[in-house]
Amino acid sequence: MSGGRAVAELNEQIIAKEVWPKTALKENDMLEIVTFMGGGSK
Amino acid sequence: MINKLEADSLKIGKETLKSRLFIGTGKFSNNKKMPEIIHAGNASVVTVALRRVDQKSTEENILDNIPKDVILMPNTSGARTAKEAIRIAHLAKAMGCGDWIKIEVISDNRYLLPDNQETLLATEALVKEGFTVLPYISPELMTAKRLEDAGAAAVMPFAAPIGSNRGLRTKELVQILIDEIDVPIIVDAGIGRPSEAAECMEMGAAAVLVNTAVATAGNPLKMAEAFSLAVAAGRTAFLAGTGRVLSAGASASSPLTGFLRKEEA
Repeated sequence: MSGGRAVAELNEQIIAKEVWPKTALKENDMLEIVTFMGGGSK
Repeated sequence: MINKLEADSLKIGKETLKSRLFIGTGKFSNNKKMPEIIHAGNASVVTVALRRVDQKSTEENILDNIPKDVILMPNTSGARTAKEAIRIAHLAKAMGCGDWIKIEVISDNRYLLPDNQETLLATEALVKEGFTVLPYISPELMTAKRLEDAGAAAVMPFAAPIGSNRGLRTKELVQILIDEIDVPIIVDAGIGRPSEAAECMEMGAAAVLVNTAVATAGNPLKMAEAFSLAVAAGRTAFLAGTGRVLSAGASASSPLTGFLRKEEA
């Protein structure tokens, strides 16, 4: 995924993109990856 | 007068806006047409939502379809509480597209009406963190005053329920906000026609946000252009000051002397 296009949150803590390659997932980790989508309201 | 009109630019946060039309990016049948539509509307601010990445989706990135000369205003749609709105705001800021955030907290799924109390809590927290906060609310004076005190950059009352295209149903309440609140009042949600946008602007609204009205129009490009013209016309009318209204009777617009026919004796 290219820079500035998505943000990752691990256990509700935002993980900077530079740290992604060094971050290993453990069991029961909650990973959320979000991006901008078309949307005015709701 | 000319100077007054030329100098009539809207400032929000640190930004001076090039127009008074904000556009939402939902419901467009073809996102590739969005740059043209945004330009046709001469929109100064464009709002986007934040959603979980769908790995299977082949949809292009929305940012590719948003011109670089507009301000990006992520919104917190999907948030049901202040806490969720704050979390979404943090994620949006981490995307690296500025510090504007439209706070939207909705837990009412039938009418999609905003939760003013949670919106106030989220606004207070995010202003302290340095965000430029534009809260979306039910038009209610005391909430608007508290938002202003909390440092909101603007207040965004709805005209009618989201996506309804029902027009300015909250006119008297919105007028009270315009009269009593010093930060810009931006009418958001429910505006369906350019004439309704013009009405908001004639009343003294600082700007208007439309989405569904353009996205669901027969020709979105033409409708964006129509909204641009309507917003500009309404603003100019507000600056001009509308003429007085007679409570009854009429008042001739032409002189009542010098008729072509002979004066009656």
